[in-house]
Amino acid sequence: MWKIFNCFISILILAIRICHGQQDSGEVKYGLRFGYDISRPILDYLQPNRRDEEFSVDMQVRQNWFAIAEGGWNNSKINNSPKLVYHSSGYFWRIGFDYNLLKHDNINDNNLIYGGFRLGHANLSHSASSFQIADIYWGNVNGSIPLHDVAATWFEIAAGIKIEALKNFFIGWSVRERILLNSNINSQLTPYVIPGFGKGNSKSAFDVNYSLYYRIPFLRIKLKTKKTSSPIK
Amino acid sequence: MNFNPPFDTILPAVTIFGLGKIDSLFAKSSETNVHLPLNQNSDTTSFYIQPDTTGLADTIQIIYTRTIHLISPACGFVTFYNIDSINTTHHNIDSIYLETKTINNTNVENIQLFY
Repeated sequence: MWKIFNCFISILILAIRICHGQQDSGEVKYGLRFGYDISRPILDYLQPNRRDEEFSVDMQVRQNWFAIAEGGWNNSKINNSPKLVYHSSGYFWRIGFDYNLLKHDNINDNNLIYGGFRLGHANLSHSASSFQIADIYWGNVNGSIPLHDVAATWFEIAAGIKIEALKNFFIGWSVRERILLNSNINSQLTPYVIPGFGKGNSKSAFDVNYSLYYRIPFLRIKLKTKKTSSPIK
Repeated sequence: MNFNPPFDTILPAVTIFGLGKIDSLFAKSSETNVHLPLNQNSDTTSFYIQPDTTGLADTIQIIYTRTIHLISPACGFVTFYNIDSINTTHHNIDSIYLETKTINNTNVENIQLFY
């Protein structure tokens, strides 16, 4: 799987190198880049208890610096009756910056290799509508935990690439490591999933994203000098 | 002055059942330590303990608070306990000692009985 993935990325890079071998026009485009994480539906297929969606929007704010906002939601349903019937739904946002590490010798080269950080926050409400603890001697325990809200805040570091596969159309992946800073999870019922973070029973989480992006270039800046990496200083 | 340091005793034919239950947990079996289930639907559990076939039986009472914890979606919930107090009759038991108050998924000794 990873070999195919790497190969795919390598081919993309090669294709882009060929495309950008042409003389550039001296016009640089800026705009909001919208992304959708296509890895979420794939992961959800492997974990049928959960449903996730994740979107992102980013824009270059300084040379090599990109401001980024991400958001999405999660729904989880566990029907392991009579042991546990559980439901949760919530949303999250993350804000942060990415720093591009790739040196560009062409102003129209928009490919990125980046490292960055995010601050994330999630709100969810969850309930165990029924549960049963088996006890063969004294008798089974039946109960329920009513719907209540949980909030969590975390810090994360990210690293990844974004490649302009077609004009304004990007493909990219990233790896994330998250550390939970603060949450009001009560010890009775730990969330199955904290949206945008990962498993609710852990203080740290690792994640991989694979996203498709489309950039809407509403800002065009004409350049007199070529061979500069970016006009925004 | 007669002073005997405590040592682990084998109860040769111990019979234990929960008060209010007909089924016994141990019937005339030879034990040095026993695992007893607390009632998860109540804050008090009492056990009838007869050390051998002829000796007088004692009743021990355990008073506790309960909290439930979600282990995983597959395993579901378990009950953790915190023992508040323990009482006993003194027909055969000399004294009772609460060693560890918390009962969770670690295997520790909670209560010692002195005969």
